[in-house]
Amino acid sequence: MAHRPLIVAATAAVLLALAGTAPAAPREPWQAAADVRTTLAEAQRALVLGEPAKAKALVAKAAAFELGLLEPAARPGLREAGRAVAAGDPVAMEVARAATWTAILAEALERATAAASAGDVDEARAWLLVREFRKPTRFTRPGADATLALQALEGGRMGPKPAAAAVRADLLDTYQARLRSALDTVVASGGQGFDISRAGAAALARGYFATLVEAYEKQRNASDAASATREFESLVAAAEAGDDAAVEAELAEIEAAIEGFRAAPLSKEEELRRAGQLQRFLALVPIEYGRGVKDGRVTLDFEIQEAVTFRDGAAQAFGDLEHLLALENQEDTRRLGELLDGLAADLGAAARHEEVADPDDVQGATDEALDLIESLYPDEWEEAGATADFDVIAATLDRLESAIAAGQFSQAEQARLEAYAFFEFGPEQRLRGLANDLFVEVEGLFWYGSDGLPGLAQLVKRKAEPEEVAETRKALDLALADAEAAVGAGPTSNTAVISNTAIIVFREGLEAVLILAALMAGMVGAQAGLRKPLLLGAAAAFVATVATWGIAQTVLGSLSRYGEKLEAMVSLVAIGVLLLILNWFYHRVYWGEHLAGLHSRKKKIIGIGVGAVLAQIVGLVMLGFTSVYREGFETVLFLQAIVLEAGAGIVLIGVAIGLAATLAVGYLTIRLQRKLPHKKMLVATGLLILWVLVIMVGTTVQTLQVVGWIPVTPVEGLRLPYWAGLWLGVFPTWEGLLAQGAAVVFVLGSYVLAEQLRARRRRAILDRPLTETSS
Amino acid sequence: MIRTRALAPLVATGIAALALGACGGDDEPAADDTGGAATTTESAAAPQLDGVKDYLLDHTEQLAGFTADFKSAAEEYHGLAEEAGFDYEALWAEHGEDLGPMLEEMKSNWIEGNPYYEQMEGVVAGTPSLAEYDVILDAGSSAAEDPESAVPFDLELSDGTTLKQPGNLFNLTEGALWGTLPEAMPQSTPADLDGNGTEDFGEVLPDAAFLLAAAEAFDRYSGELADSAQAWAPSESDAFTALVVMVPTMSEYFGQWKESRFVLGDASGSESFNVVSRLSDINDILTGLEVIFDGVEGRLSEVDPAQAEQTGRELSDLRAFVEDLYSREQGGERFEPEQAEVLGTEAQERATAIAGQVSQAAAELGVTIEQ
Repeated sequence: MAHRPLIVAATAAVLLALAGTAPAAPREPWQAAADVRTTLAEAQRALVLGEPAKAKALVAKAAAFELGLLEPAARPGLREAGRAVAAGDPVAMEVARAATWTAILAEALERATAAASAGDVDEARAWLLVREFRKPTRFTRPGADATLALQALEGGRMGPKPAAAAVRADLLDTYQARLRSALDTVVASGGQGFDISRAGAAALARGYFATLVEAYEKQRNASDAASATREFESLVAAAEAGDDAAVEAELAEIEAAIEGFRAAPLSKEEELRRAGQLQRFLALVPIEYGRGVKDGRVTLDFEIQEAVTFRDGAAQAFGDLEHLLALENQEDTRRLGELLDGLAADLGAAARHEEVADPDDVQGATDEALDLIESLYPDEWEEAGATADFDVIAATLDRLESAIAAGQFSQAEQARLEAYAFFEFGPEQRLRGLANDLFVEVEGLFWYGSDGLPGLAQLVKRKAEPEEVAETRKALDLALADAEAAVGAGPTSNTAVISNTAIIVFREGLEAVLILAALMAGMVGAQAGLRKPLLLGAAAAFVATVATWGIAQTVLGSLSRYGEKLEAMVSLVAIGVLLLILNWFYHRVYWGEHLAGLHSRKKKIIGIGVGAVLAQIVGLVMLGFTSVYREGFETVLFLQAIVLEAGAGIVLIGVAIGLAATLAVGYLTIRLQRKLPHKKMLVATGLLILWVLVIMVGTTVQTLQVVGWIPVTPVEGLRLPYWAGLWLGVFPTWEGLLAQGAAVVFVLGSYVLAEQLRARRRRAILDRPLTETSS
Repeated sequence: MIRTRALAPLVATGIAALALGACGGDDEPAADDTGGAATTTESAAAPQLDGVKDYLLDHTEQLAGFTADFKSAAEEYHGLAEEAGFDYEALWAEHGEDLGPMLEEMKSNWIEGNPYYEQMEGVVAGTPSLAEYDVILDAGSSAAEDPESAVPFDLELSDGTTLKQPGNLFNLTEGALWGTLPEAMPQSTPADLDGNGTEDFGEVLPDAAFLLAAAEAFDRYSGELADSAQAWAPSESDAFTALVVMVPTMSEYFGQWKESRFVLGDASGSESFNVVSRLSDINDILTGLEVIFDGVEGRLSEVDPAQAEQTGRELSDLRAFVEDLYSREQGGERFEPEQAEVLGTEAQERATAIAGQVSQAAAELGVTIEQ
């Protein structure tokens, strides 16, 4: 009994001791990994700064951590670390650190993908926290594919297998980028004589490759995989030994071994997207460069920067496709890489204002590269360029936002117009045929607003804050994403394609038909002969339209960005001719009677009269031609794109229906006008032409604003329904509204003048003495 | 009668044409039903960003106070130089006794004022609407160095000289006070300010016109920053963008530290960061980033508590790592270039991990990280 207190105390002491040494509850994988990594880093710091005892204690601490499922992976590296600090060897310590960490990463990768494959989101998430990321730069951010895949798996939007594949692809892609970075560090550190860093980077490269080797073996073979693994081991050994020559030799072997290897193969969609980006971005390089250079000097830095951006985008896409292209032709692929590097050098020198390459040389290099691409691409990639349009639009909109943030609004407007041009001569053509509602929304967000949000044109004009621009940009991104999906999905139904095609042809053809029909209706009696030059012009335009279709497949495709300028020029000519003819139309009664009077006089005057008639004929031919070709040109671009989506047969049905409708309207117009008394016919014709003229003026002003030839000054507070622009060419800008107003004044003024002339003539006739006889 | 009957079909034709087109396709914008992008997670807890704004305003006020005092001192110095006809030999001969303490005080104030900005740099540089001030005050280069990152302003001196895009204002004022400006800039004149018989590093008489112009610009832009900060409405996107954007910036800063006098001593060719160690700046930036992270941590915890905990720990571990290095440096310890390389690389890798984790969090929450 006397010993009871002692026994109790002893028992308590034993229990307390046991509690102190009892293993802690298992921690999350990320905590265990972070503890090991941080502690080994501190140990290395101590070793490097000459505190070996502290380093040993820290390594011992790391070795004592409860690592759970990471234990088997981490243990070999931790033992190496123990040996390294015992020897006071910071090079070996760095290698051991890298080996431990990459082994942990490899284990986490396997467990994360296995958990995702089993549908265990929580487990997958827990392991996904043990990972690395690509290094962010000023222009790139780490991706989140794996994270979002797990989120989609949790939400039932993705199945376990695809989610696991996405997780694996993200991680493999990351570690391949890290492998590249580590090899670059081996070179850089060696150049500076930093043996510790070089050995550490070599060990990291070895570890990253170990996570990729399974994919490497699948793509190559087991023998190559084993050989490559040996080369990485040799690299580490050479770096540890400080053998510069051996490091250089091993690096060369490794570069050869991994050339063309891509751990996370792209999906077919991603391949197509990259293929499109390479083509489209590359084609834009000389265009942007040419705009920024003049007489051997850089005149517009932002255009050069844009060229650099597109080149870098093309190079990135090339990097992702290189291994596939090399399978087609290694020599050509290598040459393509050289051309891209050459462009980088030229553009960089121009950006630094060091040396300005001739734009023709840049174009030449680009053309050679594009030819190589054409020869290397498989058939299914031939139309890939179109898929990159949205990427080009996004890159250009990024430039807009950067310019806004920097307060450079003229550059922002330039970027906006460029982005819109890429849209208009890219996806818009197909979108109109496939999903017209999306076209309207995107159009609104680019210009004057949609769904309560201001358009980018308005925002840039009033120098809006970046936040406001970002809001519209966000909505535009969503709309463009939907548009991309719609364009990528192709036509939803033949009926939709037919009806949309018919509407396009009808709408584009309506203006031309109304002008011609209205004028022809008035050409009766002595004037009937003047129908021929009008129809001749129209027929010539029809032939020209068909010819345009023929060359649209080749030349026009690459000139599509200049198509809007061509459209603008043709439109201006069409308006000019229409105004002249309109003037002639109202005054022709006077001319006609004047000419009749001249017949009784001398030949010279008849000659003058014949010259005047010739001018009328030329004018009518020009009117017929420009009225039809202006619409035909734009229609060809639309139809060309829709044919690619839906096939020629379907589109031709839509074209036939649209043409029939426009011709029916034209026929009705002529019939109805002829039933009218002369004066009423004159009024009806004038009204029709006025309506068409107003539309033409409005749409032409819009086109001139798109090409940047005239400014955009939105009417603040004025919101117009989308159909006002679509059908009446009425857009809420001062330039457009004033031009349309001027057109109305001109037409009405011409009519009033004609009426005054007619009244004067009537009075003259009535005032004539009865004894005079008219000839 | 005839007129009406004749005109009516014509008008009807026009209307019918319009109706045909309007009915034929769905021209109305469709409702947005995108499901591809990550959806924003609904949450009852909003990010607590008022604290971030208060933190920013405190520091903009401190900075504005410092630049106002700095400008006053520069004006006084300019006055003395003007009296001496901008002959610095004569200036030193006449006012040497006063100039030493005056310039030492300016330098001391500059060193004290530096953290006012650095502690808010994370917010300023990471927020798109404020980022230009980071270029102007701290991060921008000269046009000669790097046109792409050049400051957007020119400096006009009182003698009529215009220096086009000369570089950021912290670098310019540091260079003037310590005599480390590039050759293309008005040079400071060496002088034995402390009277110890030698003209040591940093003992110079700045070019008065240059110093005044730089000080005036400094004060002007710090005032504009204060106004912009007042008007700023912090958003979740701003917070996440700041956290991600600052990582490559810190990577650059570690690189600059490795090249600075604090590591390479006299062998350093760096024209800047020779007075206040970049480690101090990095430490200050991390302070600001922790404030920002605190503002969004609650939001992140709702979606992914483990991720939130991990990032919080990584930030504080990195801060502790840098603080340790800095305190050693302040204690007189000098790092060998390779030591700096190993340590700096470790810090850069940790920063990269943080940026990656924050990017994942932003993706999960559907928050846009601005370019």
